[in-house]
Amino acid sequence: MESEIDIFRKLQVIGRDIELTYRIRDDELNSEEPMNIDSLEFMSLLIEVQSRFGVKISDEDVQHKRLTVMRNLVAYLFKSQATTGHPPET
Amino acid sequence: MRYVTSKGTPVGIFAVEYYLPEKVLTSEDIAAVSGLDRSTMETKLGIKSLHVCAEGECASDLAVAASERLFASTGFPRQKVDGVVLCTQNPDYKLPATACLVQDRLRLSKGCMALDINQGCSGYPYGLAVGSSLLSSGICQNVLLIMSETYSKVVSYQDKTVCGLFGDGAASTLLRPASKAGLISFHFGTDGSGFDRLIVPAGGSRIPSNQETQVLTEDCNGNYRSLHHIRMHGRDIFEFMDRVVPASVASALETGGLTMDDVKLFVFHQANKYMLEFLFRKMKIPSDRTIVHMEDIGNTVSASIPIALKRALLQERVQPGDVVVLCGFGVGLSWATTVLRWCDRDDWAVL
Repeated sequence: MESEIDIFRKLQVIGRDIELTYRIRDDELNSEEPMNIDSLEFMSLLIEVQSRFGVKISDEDVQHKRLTVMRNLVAYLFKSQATTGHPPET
Repeated sequence: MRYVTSKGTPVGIFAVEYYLPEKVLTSEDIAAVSGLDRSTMETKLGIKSLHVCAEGECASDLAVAASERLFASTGFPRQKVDGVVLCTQNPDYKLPATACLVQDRLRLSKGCMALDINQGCSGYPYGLAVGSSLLSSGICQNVLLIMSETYSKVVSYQDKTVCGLFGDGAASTLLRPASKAGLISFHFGTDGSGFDRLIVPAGGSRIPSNQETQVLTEDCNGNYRSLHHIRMHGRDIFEFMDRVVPASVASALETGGLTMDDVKLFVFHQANKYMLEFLFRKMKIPSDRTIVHMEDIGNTVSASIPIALKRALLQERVQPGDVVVLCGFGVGLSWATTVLRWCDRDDWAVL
């Protein structure tokens, strides 16, 4: 299983790969603030996350689990990994 | 479904022209009405203005104007057209087919076949397949393929998810038999389970028009629309595009015995700038082999590919012999890819 820190670093790599204008800061894992990201960029982030982590993230989860907050997204992926037993793709 | 056009008479694109309605909405106009962030519209969607129909201006009007430009620029004798295939999702009337109105208004032969096809953003490759089948089978000799779309009639300008996106426009393409294959291969796909991801719910038989369907209701994000307005689930459409387009393009190229490296230009449905650039980056297609040309017209649905193709031709980015890939995707859900080789002047039979 990947640690939450490893998942967070992979999200930073994804952000760079898809050229998000929003830079995911190193201290963002501890922040409660939502990412300052527009809906198109967030959609593209979710697409890549789903593809690379092998998970399907529903609209309900995006809304109810407040996945625009990086800390919540990492926790969600960590938990999904434990449920599916699949480590994220590298 | 994959198809290679090696059987029957080879077919090519003889000419393309387009027409945009005169009325223009700028990003400023749209932002003022809808509250849409103007900067997002311009920088992310890549759209600064849209052409929209005036009141009473319909799909047939745009179709006739685009086709008249085609006859004027080519000098092609209109009486020789024996097939009209018109693609629209906003016809002038529920019946008859808009293609019939266009046959009359263009003064085409009464021996002419005329039919409508109801497709959205995948309409151009679908139309090319229908038109080339009519030609390669020998049923027709010269087919006018028209994409004419007027989504402004079903857009709520109080709905920020769509009001800064769709513009109206029409493109007319003349398809003819050629000495060498212009249209090389096709790939098609459909996933009707996503029919409600991009939909105008009311006005058909399922939800007939009545007083209730006309009422504007507010969603949780402050957008207002009635059941006669288009509603789009943006995230699902984005995911759908990401899922189907690379595979469809690869399949059509493989069927045609070609690779990505053989392609001079990729002309994709002009959905929006951000999604296209995301897709091109993922498919590792360099920007000098793509076209994103929607700043002044927005997403013109089925007309977007031929308009972008015509603009690429005007910029001399396509030369005879060049391989071009056209890919459309959207409402349905439906997607289609066409691989073509641009024909030379010598490839056409003497009239």
